[in-house]
Amino acid sequence: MSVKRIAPATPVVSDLTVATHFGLLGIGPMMLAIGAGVPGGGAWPAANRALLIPFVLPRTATAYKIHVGNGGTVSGNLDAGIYSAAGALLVSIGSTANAGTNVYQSLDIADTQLTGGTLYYVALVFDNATATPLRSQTNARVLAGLGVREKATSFPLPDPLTGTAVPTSNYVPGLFVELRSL
Amino acid sequence: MTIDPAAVMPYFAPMHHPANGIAPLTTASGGAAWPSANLALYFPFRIGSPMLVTRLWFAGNGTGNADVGIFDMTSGTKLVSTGAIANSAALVLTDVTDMLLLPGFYWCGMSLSSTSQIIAAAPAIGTLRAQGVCQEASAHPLPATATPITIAYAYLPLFGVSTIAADL
Repeated sequence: MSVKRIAPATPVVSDLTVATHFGLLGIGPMMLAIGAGVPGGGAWPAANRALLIPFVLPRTATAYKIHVGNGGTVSGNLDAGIYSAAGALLVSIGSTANAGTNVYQSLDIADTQLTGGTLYYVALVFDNATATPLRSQTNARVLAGLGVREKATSFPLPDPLTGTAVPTSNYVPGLFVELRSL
Repeated sequence: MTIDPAAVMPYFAPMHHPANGIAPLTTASGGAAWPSANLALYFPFRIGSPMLVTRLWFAGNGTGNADVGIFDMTSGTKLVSTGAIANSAALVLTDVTDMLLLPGFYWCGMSLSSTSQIIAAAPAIGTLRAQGVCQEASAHPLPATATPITIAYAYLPLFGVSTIAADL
């Protein structure tokens, strides 16, 4: 009897995600571990302030979407992207209207290959402090100890981005990156 | 080859990392007094890929001097440490001689010369004992060889390793 071999289809959904509040990668496990994994809506801490969250992938993969959790109020524009550890902007969505309350706003970024075992930062910035994206709160020094960074006057996301500072607010936005590695 | 991401993250705190260290199982983190002057606390962690230790850090919130170090879990030998570093209300980062940790099991230890504050949580003591957290009295600065015993305090300080020479 012959066995028909079926080639795997190109995945249409991610097989890797990096989330800021849950999951296996990035700071998600630590946020869960300290009990800060359930986000709620909260006003963006300051207009044009970018927040950067570190992550490392276990294998090389292609990032293709960033999803930003919106709360009950959407306002103005946002920008989201991915930086190298040296501050080079690898990909971003550019200035985009913040839209859709109480849903994850899906941002279709250009496919970007990220190398396994290499440090990257996913970045988010709003041009206002009215929008209330999903966020978790924990001590700002705890966030510093997770490698979270911030940078003022960074809308839209600049290239390069350097001179970041430790967080001054107890705020981690709820977002996740979708990737394909297969 | 699969890589252990925790070994490459810019900051690593064994006490906040359920996959590679321990899970604190508490939300409260704020300034809290060190349990006893010159007490050292040891937190076990493991890494599945090589980790380059470039800096050691703690989340300060008071006075006195801290010492943060890494110990081999098998022998108790201190591999690298900061020596006495002043506590302050900030994330206190100290450059150390780069140390490449190979995959394996280690202790991350810290001692404080006083009972001043650093950023800490206070999980149930059984939570810490069950996950292998230990202590050692009269251990500031950190000794050349750790002699850990079961922890007697419900105290979870925030300190750890940085794998990058400078921040973004």
